Amino acid sequence: MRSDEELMNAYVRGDATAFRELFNRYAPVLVRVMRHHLRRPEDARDLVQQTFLQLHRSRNDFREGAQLRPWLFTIAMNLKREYFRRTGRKPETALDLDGRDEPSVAPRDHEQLEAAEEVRFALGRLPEDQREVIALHWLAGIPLPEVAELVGASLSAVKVRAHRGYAAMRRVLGGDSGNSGGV
Amino acid sequence: MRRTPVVDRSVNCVDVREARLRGAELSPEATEHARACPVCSAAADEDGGATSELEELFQGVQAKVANEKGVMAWARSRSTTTRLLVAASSVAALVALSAVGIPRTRFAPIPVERFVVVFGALAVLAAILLRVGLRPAHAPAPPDRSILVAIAAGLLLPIATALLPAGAHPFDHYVQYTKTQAMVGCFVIGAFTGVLVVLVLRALDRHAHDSRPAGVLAAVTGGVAGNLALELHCPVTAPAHLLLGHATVGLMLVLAYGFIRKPALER
Repeated sequence: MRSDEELMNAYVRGDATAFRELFNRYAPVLVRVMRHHLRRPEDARDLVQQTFLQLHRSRNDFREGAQLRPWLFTIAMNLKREYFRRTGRKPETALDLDGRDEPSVAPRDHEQLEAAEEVRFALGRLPEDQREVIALHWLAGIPLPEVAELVGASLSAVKVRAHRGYAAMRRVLGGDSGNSGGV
Repeated sequence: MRRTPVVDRSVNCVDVREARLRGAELSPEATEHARACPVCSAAADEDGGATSELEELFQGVQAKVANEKGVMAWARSRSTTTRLLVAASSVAALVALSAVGIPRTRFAPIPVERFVVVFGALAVLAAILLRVGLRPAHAPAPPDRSILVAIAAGLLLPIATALLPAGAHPFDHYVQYTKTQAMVGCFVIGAFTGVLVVLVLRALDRHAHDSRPAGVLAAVTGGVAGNLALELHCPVTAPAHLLLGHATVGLMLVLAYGFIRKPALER
């Protein structure tokens, strides 16, 4: 399997299928991250589209040796911040997401659906700075040092936010006693 | 609140997600964790279940990418280094044009110290404004305060330089024009240069940043470029002329941008 960077370099050289592969690899994660920040799913989808459009426009900035993932997520986070600035709105919680506009998923059983809703609920209760860190770390699977670069904070500050955020999520998810699964 | 079942805590959910995102094989422990952990299995289902929506999303991206045609699209997709070089060369060429067309030395000797300070300060500021305005989409965004400081500096520096001492050769008006005619003439030359610079910058802009500050930054950069051109053209060192005929260029470009902002220039 080609790495992200190999795919991006191939796209810069004109391989359109590489762009599709990068989209398949990152769009689900980006949609998920954006949805935990924006109330309206269509805004989340629009920002994901804008992210890939900017990836296309910026392709000639991609240099050998650079890593794609922080590159792509910085674009996405910049677009998200500027969305809030443009609309004059503060980052939203996802508390009132009722799932009607969510993609049609088919959880294997009721327990999984409930767990996903609980995670969404727990994330929605976090302050924005913690939610941003957890969304990137947990939903997008980005290591904390990379998250620190993306949010423009020191690694120690990001670790504190993550620690507090995960602790708060554990409390909400009922795992405070230490015997719960997940997170 | 419902409690989630006990799962292997030696494996982190993030590790499972990471492995899934990378398409890597899960270790036996991680596989067991992912199977037992309702959060991990729900996440896996969500990832795999939105195929039709993702396909629709990709069609949208493809349509946007397909629209990236023409000179503007070509210009903004150049590397940031190239875009900066093109922008800086355009500013230099337009500034040089005014110096070659109607050079300042035709009217009066140049007060060297004053000229070096003013031209140097404006040139450095223009370089900073170009760097901020054409910053790449993948660079961490500068704080809002930095953008505001850059905009304020672009508007205030021409005012500050207008109030500098005139130097060894004070010159307060063109012999063949009234003071008002000279002032309006300078404003037109500065504004013409500035508008051309704004057009170049908007053509090179990838619209990755909020359009309002980006447009204002371009207008302010145009104003600074206009003042650079006037510095090579205009021999007048009288503060009133400089304040009304030179320093107003950036301000008027910002106001004009606010009035004529068109959807076509936006994202």
